[in-house]
Amino acid sequence: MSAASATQSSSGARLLLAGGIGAAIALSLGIYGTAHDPATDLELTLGFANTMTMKVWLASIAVLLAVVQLASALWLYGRLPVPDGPPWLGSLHRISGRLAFLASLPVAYHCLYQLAFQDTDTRVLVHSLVGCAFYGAFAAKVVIVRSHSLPGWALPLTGGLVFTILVAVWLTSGFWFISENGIPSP
Amino acid sequence: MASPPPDRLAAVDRFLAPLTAFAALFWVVALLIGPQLVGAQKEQPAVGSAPAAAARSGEQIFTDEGCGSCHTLADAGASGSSGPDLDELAPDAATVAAKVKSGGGSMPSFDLPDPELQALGEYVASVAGS
Repeated sequence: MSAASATQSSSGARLLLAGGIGAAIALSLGIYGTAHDPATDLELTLGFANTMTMKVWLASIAVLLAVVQLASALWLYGRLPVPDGPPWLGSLHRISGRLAFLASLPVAYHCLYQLAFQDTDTRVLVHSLVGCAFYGAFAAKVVIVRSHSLPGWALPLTGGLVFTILVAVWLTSGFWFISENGIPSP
Repeated sequence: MASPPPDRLAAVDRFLAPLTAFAALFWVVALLIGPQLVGAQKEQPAVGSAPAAAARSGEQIFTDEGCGSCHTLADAGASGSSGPDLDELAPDAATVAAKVKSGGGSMPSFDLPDPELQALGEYVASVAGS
């Protein structure tokens, strides 16, 4: 086996590993959400007026941070019609991603623990599915970020997928809530 | 606006990296253990008790299903504000049962057996505004 084909085989294995880990996490969350029966009235406000307000605000903040991460990624990859980015751009990219992930965690916790996986209507079903898929895609992206010698398209594709899924999660929850009820006062 | 020094952002990033991993682990553990970790109460069903569908009172269902997260109902000690104030609305039992069953607006539907829907409706109707 040539060195090139060995590298290609190794890359394929890593991509499969990333996809497998992502799929396993998404599936685990879905199974948890389906099997779990919350015998509790979980009020999780984190300083906001109520649970729903906390979820709408944190989900919206996560999306805004994800937009920062997407824009900084495009800048890093030279896809923006602007000069090369400043030296701190990479750090900004990573920080915005970490903060977006952190902001999403309490929201997802309440969704999974209290509301669980639901299919009462199309919006709720789509939200349940993409909510589980988000953490799977995120995990796959982390694996890919930490892998070397992968095809150049792997990271942008996974990052774009994570961003798209997060926006879908928000559109079917935070955006929907705001469109129905207005922006809740924090 | 001055650009942030790169070493400062890199330091923030280095600080956030383990914090992010720890936070993810914390919430996973909270999912498995329960909401005690985040300060909420979890009510454990009694061992050997009758099936929940037959045993829960309307008040118990109101609490268990998290109605108070969105609705105010003084009798249940609930002060949620993202949904209608049930003390002000004072709905009748049938309206409550129908709304809980089918949802609508920003309220999700709840898959409860009919006796529980009836018990919940009767409870809310009997205490709302009292």
